[in-house]
Amino acid sequence: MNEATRGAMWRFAALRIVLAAWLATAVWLALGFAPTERTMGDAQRIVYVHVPVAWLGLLWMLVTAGCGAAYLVRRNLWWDAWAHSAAEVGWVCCSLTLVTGSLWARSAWGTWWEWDPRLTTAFILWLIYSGVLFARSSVEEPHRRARVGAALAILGSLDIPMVVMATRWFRGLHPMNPEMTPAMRITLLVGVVGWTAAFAWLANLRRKQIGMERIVRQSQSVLEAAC
Amino acid sequence: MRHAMHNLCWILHKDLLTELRSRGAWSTMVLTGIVVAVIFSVQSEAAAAYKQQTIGCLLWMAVFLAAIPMMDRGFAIERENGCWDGLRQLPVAGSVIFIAKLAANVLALGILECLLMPLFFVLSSVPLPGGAGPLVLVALLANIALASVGTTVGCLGVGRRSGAALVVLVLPLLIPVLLAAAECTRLTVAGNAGEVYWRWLQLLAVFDVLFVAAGLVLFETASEE
Repeated sequence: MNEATRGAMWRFAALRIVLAAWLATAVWLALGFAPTERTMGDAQRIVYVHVPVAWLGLLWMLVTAGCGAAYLVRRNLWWDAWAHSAAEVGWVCCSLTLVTGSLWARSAWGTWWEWDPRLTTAFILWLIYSGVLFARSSVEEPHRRARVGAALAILGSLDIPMVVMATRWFRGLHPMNPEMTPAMRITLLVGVVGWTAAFAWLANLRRKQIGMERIVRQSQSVLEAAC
Repeated sequence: MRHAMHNLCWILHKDLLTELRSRGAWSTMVLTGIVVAVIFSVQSEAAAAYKQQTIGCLLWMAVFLAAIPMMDRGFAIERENGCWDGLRQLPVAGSVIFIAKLAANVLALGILECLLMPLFFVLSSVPLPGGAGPLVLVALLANIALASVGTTVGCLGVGRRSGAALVVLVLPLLIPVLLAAAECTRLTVAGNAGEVYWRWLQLLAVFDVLFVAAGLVLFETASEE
């Protein structure tokens, strides 16, 4: 192992430690530091996970569409690997948004689910992610799979303005800009930064795995052709 | 420009002829719509107000379920016959082929709605107080969005193995359009085609522009084999 590789490994290890410490701080701030909300009590603390994953659900759809567009321009599967990993991580974030939102709704509204505009549009986003992943899994050839994924992600990203503006355009139950104390705002900010970094790390890891899977498949087909 | 228009008219003519000759596809499509209309209408015990509230939703679901497999089938037939390869080898821009196919699909949807809409309203005895005008406007805008997404995604050939796959893929993309169309229809039936109706119509128009623009950009790459 040369000096440069060893240095990179140390840097990655240090980054992982910083990330783990940041996330531990975010969890401590959410559970111990942030004051208990007067009307909702401890159930309000779900917001410190719900808001970051909701924001990430939107962000990863844009990343998926952006990387898909970059693939269509460059025809490089490196971009497709990013689009694929972003779609998978985005699907996880969107699922977490629905689950945490549902838990919060049970406590705040007394029901697990309400066909509120924001909830409905978040569910549509989850369906779009599922559609993109389903379409990708149904195509074998890598470049065709990349084209299908890119086209669907770009079309799906056109629904993002509707998801974002749902609470402004249509009246619903979902809160808009709720009042927060400075301690609550700091907790939320630390959570948003921490979860964004954690999911970005996860997406990068998955991107590398997808790249390696492709290399293994190519090697397999070369070996099969040789035999 | 004239050459492009000539090509567009030629492809549109070919697609419309293919559509009209595929009687099997039309009968399946119309039957799907009739089944939904009949199930909705035979609920004789349902209150008139309830029918007024739900007719838009069911009408647009029937149109969607009947139309999307039709669009996918159009591409599948072209691929099976080698027509698609021939079309792509012609010196015609992808955008011209997309617009021609979009126009053919919009017209086919229009014909389907000309059959289904009167059927829905006659069978369910729901009156249309403001006349058919506002509904025609909704249908036109909704058809453009449905056809542009159906054409772009159908061209990808994801549903080659089963048409159901395309419905699963396209439905989430079109939920905002179907919601807007259903809401506009509900307001038209309620005789309330005012400010709220126009706001939903604007949303439909925005999605039309977005989906047609995305289709024009994506069609060339989506149609590669």
